[in-house]
Amino acid sequence: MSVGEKVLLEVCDLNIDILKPEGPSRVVHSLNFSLKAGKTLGVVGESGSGKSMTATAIMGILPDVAVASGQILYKGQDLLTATHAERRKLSGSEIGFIFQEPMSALHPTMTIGEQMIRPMRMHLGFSKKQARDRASDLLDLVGIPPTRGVLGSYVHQLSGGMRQRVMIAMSISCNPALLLADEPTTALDATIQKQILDLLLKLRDDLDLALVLISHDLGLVSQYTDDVVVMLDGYEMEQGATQEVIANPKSGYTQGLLEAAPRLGHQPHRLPVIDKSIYSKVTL
Amino acid sequence: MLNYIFKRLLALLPTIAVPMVLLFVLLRLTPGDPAAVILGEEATATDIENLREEMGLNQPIILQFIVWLGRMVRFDFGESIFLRAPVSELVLAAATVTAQLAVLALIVAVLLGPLLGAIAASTKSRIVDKAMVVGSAVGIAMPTFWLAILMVLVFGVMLRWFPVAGYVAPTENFGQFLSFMAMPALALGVLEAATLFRYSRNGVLDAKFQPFVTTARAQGIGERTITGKYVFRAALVPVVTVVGLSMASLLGGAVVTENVFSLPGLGKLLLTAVDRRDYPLIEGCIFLIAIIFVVVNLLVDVVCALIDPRIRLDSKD
Repeated sequence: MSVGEKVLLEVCDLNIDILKPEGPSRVVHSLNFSLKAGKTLGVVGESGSGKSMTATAIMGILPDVAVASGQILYKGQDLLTATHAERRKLSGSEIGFIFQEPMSALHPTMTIGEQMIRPMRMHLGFSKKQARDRASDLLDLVGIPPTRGVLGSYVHQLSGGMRQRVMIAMSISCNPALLLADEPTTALDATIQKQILDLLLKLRDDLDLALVLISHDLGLVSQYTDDVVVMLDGYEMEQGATQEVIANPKSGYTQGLLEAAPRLGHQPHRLPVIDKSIYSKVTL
Repeated sequence: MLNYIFKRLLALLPTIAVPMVLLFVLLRLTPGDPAAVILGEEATATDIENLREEMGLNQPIILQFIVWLGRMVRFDFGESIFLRAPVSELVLAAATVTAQLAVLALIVAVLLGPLLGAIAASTKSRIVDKAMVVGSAVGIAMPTFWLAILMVLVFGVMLRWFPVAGYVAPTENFGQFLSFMAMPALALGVLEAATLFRYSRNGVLDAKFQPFVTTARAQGIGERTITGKYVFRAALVPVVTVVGLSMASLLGGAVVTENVFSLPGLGKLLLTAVDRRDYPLIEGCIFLIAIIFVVVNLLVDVVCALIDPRIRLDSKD
């Protein structure tokens, strides 16, 4: 990490509890990480590891039954103690979010243009025309030429890759400094997956974004991130510079994940198995 | 879209032919001889026989059907046996009154139902929500005539706010028209609103937790805009469908309501016609009601396609 760059996002001792009638149940346990502008952090874990919960907590869109405690510092401001109005000002304009399923994350009966224009008019004070022009430019930037007429289309008329491109264009429309991508390519096939991730990295470099890439795919994360946090059942297993973690995993769980990745030309008699109970700090 | 509407209009005739043929058969199967009803209880058997001959009721049913079919395809409904006036005139005059009642009731239902539904779905108070749900269940369960009679008793007889029964055309005196229409329209509309309430509440509750609402929230869009634009627009389609369906039940309800309030509408005319076995008049009424149903259905489909681009009319047909 280069010295002198300011830390953009700092998560300190983050706990997330789900409130249930029989008492709260903790899904994220004292998580810590930080991220600088222009860098990419990968958060890796299987389903239920708490990685998406962490992202939604940063975005401030936790479901009503979930409560976060600890600190999430964005540019020094604690997001968890910020008022609703303060958070709203940051949402979209400072922090952008890319959802896993663009099909359901985009409104079914609103045109793409209408959905893209509203946040820009709100955060940037653009006129309808300005916002529309910028929306068209943004789509061009993410690889959808204006001639496609996507602004007037509806989400069901687009292909999966196009949908995610629209989602990305939308998330960067108000010049955020931080982009959270929650499994942005899980719903896409492998070739599109690479295109979308390359696009994200290009945008990160061009716009000097800090990027949080949440994924269950350690192989993918290893190619696209600077740092990585490996999570299991709400606990951090290990974190560090991605290359370091890949080359020298300290946690047996990370090692297991790496071994589980299929290799070309290598046909094991039995597939490797991770015994989660050895590593999980959750006792059932 | 236009192509689709045209195709649907063409399909309208066979759609209406089915209930008309059924009606022809059912009417002839129903006990009760129109000739006997017309002539009253003191008529002799020969009188009845002569009238039956005159009305063509003695011919074989197949022959009657062919004659009837010939008239139907020419839209010739003939004359009412009892009222001695062309059926088309009688039916259209009555339909105007029913249309006025249905539109007023629909306005009441559309203003009340979705609004209360959205409130119930959005309120944080469980008690308010539960109370409204119970209220709507009562509304759905309550028969129209019961509410109508109750309203006559309370607002007509006890409080004397509105006239108990009768009708004044809006062209004659609009104020009086409204005062005569208020109770029937409310009786019909409030009960219809109960159904709309349920669908609106469910629609809003369903849309509220959709991922696109989370997206809007992640963009910093205010809760009011989210509810007003994002949730409402997604919840609209099922509600519009139900509004269309309630047009149908409004017509059904109108039959009862018109009789309670003595409104000279289609429902009252139909009931009188059935009572007297006035075949041509019954056929005229049913024909018009069938047309209204089919046209309203078409309208609902078109409106749904307009507000939900996912519905493609042409491919379905």
